[in-house]
Amino acid sequence: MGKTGAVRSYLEQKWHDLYRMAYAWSHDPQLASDITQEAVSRALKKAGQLHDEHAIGVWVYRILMNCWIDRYKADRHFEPLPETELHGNDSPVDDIEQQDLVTRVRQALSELSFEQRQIIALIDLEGFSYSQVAEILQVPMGTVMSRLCRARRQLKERLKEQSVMGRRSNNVRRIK
Amino acid sequence: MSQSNTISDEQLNAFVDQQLDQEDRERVLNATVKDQDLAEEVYSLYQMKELVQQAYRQPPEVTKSYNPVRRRSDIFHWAAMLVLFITAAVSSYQWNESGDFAQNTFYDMTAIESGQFAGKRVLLHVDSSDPQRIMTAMQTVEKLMSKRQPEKIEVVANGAGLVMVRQNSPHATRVSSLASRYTNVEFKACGFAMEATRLKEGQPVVLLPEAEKVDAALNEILRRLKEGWVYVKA
Repeated sequence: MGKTGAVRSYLEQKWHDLYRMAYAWSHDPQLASDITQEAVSRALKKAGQLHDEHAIGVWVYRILMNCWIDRYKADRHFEPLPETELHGNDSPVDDIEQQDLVTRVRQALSELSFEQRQIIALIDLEGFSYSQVAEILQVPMGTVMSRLCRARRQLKERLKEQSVMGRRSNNVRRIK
Repeated sequence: MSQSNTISDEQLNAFVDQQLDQEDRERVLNATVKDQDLAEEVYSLYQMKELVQQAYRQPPEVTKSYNPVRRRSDIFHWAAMLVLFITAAVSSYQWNESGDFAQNTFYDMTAIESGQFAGKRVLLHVDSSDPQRIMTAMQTVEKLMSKRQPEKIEVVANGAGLVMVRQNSPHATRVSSLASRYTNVEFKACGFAMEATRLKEGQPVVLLPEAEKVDAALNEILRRLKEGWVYVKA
């Protein structure tokens, strides 16, 4: 198929997932769309630079992250939207209760730092392995593990505040 | 890692993410069987994963989320990006190393005299409001249908080219004439361009009755290319 064909085919299949990832990072549909398009455009242009077709996912998501960084540097007002705007989104989720849950979870995520949202989304939404995430973020694997750990701890607290999860103690008892 | 007799938070996370080797996985599993708190912690990690996946299963659609006041300038930027992206995406087919699309797929309008469109399905892409270019595009359709007889022609208008298929378009008569004489000629309008225009003008875009709205010109073009259509840039 060739590198360009492989990249094009991947992008056609993963367009929605890339947008979803960018949305989970930003909680801004417009910004997510912009960044996704920029990433897709860059990936198509740089297809010849793809060294390993088996690592195409990591390669594309790294481009997506670089696009985010570039936009962030260009305009530092990119911050999670306030709660009212998150509530205002109109995802096609039918059930009101379900929509409420979705809104609460997104709200909890939006209160984390960008690095924390980013790592949770890469692992939970896209299912990347820790080593793949380390490659995407260009950090050591140990950093991925500790960052993820802190992120989930924070998320759990936020979910409790949103009454999505129980308020039982968060301390993990160690095996003696 | 497996030498330790404690289970760290990192290991618990790695366990639910299936990142542990068999030995460590079994160790964590055994530990959770013995320790209720640990089991609950593992359960809550699984629960969070599921909640996150659920929360982003259906992200909001971009077109429905615009705030016309706040986003007015953004959507034009986006629409412009879309036009650029179409160019980049279509160009990428030309770069295809497999050669599947490198030949006999991309043409400009100067190629229509060559006679190589007989029996083909042709997508004619109009992204300019330049009356001369639109007129030339119409003539291209006319020439192709009368002499070269492609199987089908689809004229896709996006960006500034949307003017061609709008109500009260200066090209309305020509569009209507082509559509009525040739049943295998269709006109399509980019939904994103229509949305951008709606925000700019404050009212919905009305299309000519011969034109049909598609979600996005880009999708339409890529879909047609995959189906083996020939692409002609007006």
